[in-house]
Amino acid sequence: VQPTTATTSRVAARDRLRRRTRWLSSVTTLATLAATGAVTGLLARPTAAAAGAEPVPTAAAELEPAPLPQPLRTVYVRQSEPRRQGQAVRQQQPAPRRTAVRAPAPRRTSAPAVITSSGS
Amino acid sequence: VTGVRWWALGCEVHVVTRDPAAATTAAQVLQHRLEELDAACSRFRDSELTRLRPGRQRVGPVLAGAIRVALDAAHTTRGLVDPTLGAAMREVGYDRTFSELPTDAPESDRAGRPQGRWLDVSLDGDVLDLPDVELDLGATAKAWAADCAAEEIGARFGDVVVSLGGDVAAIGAWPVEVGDPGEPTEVVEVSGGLATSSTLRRTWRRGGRHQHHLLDPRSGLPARPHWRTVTVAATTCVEANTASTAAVVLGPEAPAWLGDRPARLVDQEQSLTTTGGWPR
Repeated sequence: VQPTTATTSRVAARDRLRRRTRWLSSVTTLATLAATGAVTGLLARPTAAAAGAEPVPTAAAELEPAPLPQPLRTVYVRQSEPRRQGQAVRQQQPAPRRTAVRAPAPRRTSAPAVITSSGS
Repeated sequence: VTGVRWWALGCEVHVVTRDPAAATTAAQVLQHRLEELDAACSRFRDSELTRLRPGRQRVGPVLAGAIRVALDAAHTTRGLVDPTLGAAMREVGYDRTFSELPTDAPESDRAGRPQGRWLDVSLDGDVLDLPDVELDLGATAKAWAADCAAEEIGARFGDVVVSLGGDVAAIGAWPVEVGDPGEPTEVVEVSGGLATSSTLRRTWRRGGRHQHHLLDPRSGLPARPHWRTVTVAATTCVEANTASTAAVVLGPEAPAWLGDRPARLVDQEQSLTTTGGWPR
């Protein structure tokens, strides 16, 4: 049985409604988190001031196994995108010998950074 | 997207997942990996590494893996990244956890001897044959842990990015800010590995002179700080870390050595040099 035009339209309208609902849910979540102080910014750089809320690298931290981590800070939260099939899963084991394969060069982006690499 | 960060192994640890529900479990997986790594490879506590003695001995899987990765890095760089610098690191003053280092200390007359005994280290399965050297796996072990954790978390939860003190392993494409806060920074989209080596971090004074933790195996002393930071992108974090460390050691010769590896180098005048398709 082929779907009628009316059925197709209803399905399309339902999908649009779902997308809007999902978007509204995302906005609501963000607004709620912002109101409760859970959203601390798109990128929370570890400044000295911010470090006050977090453990500092003390000798004890290096010498003793740390307890299981608690989420010290939610960096930011937004609606997750649908997981793309097959994209995320790579091999179970790391392959440090993949030296012959050249990674694609990074692309400059205007997206807010989620993580920093400032040196160690 | 949700991130969790904390301190471990003397560096900031940061894990970010696209699935908010996965973040805490991802952090626990990563922390478990770090505890395993610390128990096996720490120079500063009673670890499997500090119990090693010259000669043949069996080692556990984590230490074996870390040594294998370190020897691989040494081969790749022809010894510019050398895992047998443990004694040299002690002699230049980095003989305890970084936070315990004194602001200054008398110079050691034993510091500054050429190293390079990594060729005498052999690992066959889990059997290690060690000459009379002290291993320091710090250059590559964290990068390896980042790769391992990202693979493990990615297999369970999808896209994830892990940073151990700036050694980044990414499953999926993630925006990462690179560069020291005291110099121009930029945000690039990274997939795979990225590492920044810096002569500005983990610094101390010894005999009144500035020291940093990236040793030149040819001298046994901190590499001449031609570069402030070197960032390299690669397929894995280990590969990126190996190349960025070697580039700091090489100094002015680094861009030619890096060749087509995507890299970003900032010198002491804050001039930017890029290689291998790094965006200009």
